[in-house]
Amino acid sequence: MATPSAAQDNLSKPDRDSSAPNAQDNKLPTLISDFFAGYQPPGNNAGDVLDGRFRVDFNHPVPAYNTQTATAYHADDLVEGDSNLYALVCKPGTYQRHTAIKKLLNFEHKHFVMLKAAGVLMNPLNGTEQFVLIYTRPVGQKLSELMAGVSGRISESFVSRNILSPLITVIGQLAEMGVTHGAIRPDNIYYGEYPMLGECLSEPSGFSQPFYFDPIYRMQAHPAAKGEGRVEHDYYALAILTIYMLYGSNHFSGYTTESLQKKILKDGAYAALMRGKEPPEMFTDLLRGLLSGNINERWNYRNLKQWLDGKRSNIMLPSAPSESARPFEFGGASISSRAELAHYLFLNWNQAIELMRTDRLIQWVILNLRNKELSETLKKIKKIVSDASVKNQVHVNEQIMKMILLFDPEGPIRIGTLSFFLDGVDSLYLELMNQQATEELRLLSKFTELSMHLHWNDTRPGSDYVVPESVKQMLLKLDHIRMFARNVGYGFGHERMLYELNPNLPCRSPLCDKKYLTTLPTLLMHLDAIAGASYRSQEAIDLHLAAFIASRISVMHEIKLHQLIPHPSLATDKNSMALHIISLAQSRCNNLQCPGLAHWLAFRVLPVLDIIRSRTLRSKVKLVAVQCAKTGYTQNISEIIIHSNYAVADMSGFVKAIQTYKDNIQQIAFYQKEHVIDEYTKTVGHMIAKSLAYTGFIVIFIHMWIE
Amino acid sequence: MASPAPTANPLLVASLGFSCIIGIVVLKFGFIFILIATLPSIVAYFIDRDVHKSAFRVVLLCNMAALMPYVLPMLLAAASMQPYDAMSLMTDPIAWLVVYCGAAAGWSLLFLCSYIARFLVILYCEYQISRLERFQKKLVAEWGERVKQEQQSET
Repeated sequence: MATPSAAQDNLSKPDRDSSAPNAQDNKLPTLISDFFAGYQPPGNNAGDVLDGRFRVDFNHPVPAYNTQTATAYHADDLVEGDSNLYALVCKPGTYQRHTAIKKLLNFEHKHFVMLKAAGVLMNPLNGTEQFVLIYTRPVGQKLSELMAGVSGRISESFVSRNILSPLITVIGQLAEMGVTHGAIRPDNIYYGEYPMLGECLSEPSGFSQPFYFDPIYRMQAHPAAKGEGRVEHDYYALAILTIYMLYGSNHFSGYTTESLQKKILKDGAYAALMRGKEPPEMFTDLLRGLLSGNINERWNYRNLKQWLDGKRSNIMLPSAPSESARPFEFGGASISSRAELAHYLFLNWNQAIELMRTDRLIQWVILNLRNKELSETLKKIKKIVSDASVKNQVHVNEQIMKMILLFDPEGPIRIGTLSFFLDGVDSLYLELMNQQATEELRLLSKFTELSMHLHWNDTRPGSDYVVPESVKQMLLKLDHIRMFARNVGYGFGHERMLYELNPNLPCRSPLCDKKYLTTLPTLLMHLDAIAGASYRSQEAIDLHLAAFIASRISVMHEIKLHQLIPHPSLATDKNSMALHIISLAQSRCNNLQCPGLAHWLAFRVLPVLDIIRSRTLRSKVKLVAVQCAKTGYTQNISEIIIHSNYAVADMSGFVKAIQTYKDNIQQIAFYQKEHVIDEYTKTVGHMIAKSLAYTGFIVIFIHMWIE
Repeated sequence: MASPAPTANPLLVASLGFSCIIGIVVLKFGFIFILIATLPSIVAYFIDRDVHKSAFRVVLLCNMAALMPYVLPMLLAAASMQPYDAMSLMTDPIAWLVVYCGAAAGWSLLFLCSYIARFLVILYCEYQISRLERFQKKLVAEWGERVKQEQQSET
């Protein structure tokens, strides 16, 4: 391997043939073309067998197991000969719950579909590498289908013993592993001889849940931003499942997301969901306990276990969550609780800003909620909102967000048009990127940049509040990526935030189309493989590629090529940047040779080098760059083009050349002046005459002397 | 170019005056001959405005070279305390012709040499200009037209 220092030595050698460079310059692209004509990159395509044992039959779809983000196909275990498997082939660009996947891989439970493997496979139908989850096939048919076939009412003991009991056990076990299911609904529960929970890993937690299966605050959040959630959310879904099984699928008809939210906020979850029906006595405690509006009274696993064991507690009917005798009129509604107020403030964001410029809300809080601490905080918010100029819309939004959190600390973070949970920021970012929702992305970026998540911390109820692990991790991530939101250059911005938030996300660069690349070596090998087809038409970098690499090699500060500052256009050029970033990536992949990629970068960077003013230096740099490309190490090209100090030498040489040119012009003008010629003529003429006169005199004198 | 009017060096004037007195004492009429014979040089001294008095020197040297055949016997006779007939010289038209022709040859030499010098100087200047122009072309070839443009933008 030619080391970078060797390459630099090469550059410093004197140019023997100064007339050659021009011809050589023209030959360099041809040399690169010749290289690609004979270059066969090593293949690195994903195979059609996962982990050497699971083969997916792409000609055999199993639509019954499809999810919103994945298509199901039949799968076989080649080692154990098990063909009772199915594969969920996830659509490119979708979110999978990788943390939960690691925990649930090979987790065996009678009432839960077993995840046998997860990884990347080539889908021959579209030639795309896709993330695949291999599951054992659940036994029986979907509960929703089973329900549709039942004419009468399902027996209460069947619901309790055959459905709820096993599901409570499996949910409890999942909770012990730190996983919430988030997809408990009739069409994801299978029933044969016993119930079996379907998969929950191919999409964000709660992404496909029908709205009524989610508690109010998850319902209020963006579908992709519900976060991992808590086990209580699964139990809540079980309560809804119970109602569903008792009263049938039509029980919730007529509700929309918005109408149900309003109803729950006004009357409480129990009243809203029961719709005036009295549940069988057996389920009264269960439903009242699980649907309680009071967080302290809400049932947990211990309560459920006791209920399953037959203990009955005679729980009070959950009351309406009204906190004020006198309602607050806002957004066309009569609001009587803080959570309801938070909901309407979010729905009427601009009106909320206007409201905070008045004392109306503060007065209501003082007179009706009798909460002095809250009213003091609201006064501070009012002052900030009133003083803020139009330019400080972000800070106004921040204050409204803070106010909503104060009113409804259990609810999602709501700002502008976004409503999300902290541990759902990763999936939300991906979803917004997919939708190219620029405004929302900017809002989320500002949320991160200004550390607005700290307000969430400040509004946690009580000191004994335990922050969930997924939220803790997200808080750390948000602190870490704050600086990335400020920069917009290569390796930063929205793309960088996306990869930092989703470390398992494959590179989404158009250059990596149809590939699922999550590591630097595979990315570089792929770029090396496509170099021959792309080097003429495409740049070797884009925002996604740069951000992906920067994320993997932990670039913390904005990338600036200081050594090229004498040539600003070279320092900011896309190709120079590509060379620098890719060389950094390659230096992290020990001894990975990428001749194709090196030639691609060299080819793209050659025209940029025309900015070098000295023809000799330019030719030499170009020649050495192409020679370095042959080694397959982009670091060598980078050493020559970015890190050798030729730019400074070129600049100082150019300044000298300008001065010399200027001096020469003056000298030429000097020699062309008539009076200069006359002056010289006189001086030289006298000198010649004097010489001749002295000679003549001495000759005559000697001659006379001798005579 | 007009040079400043020469200022009299007191030492030179004193030594010149002393030499004249010695000359009058030793050479008598011969001194008058020398004085009249070097009249063109004296005139040249006053009309030469050059600092180095190059024209005066050339005329003086030529004048003195022509005077040498007449002055040398006079000086030798004076040195050996022998009488010398300076009057015959004074009345010899050939001697005057030779002496003044010498001075005239000095002026001619100056005139001719200026032609030769002009020819040489023009050759030298042309060579320098072409050398510089070649260098300019090399600069442009090496650094590009921008070297010129920078120059133009400055001007």
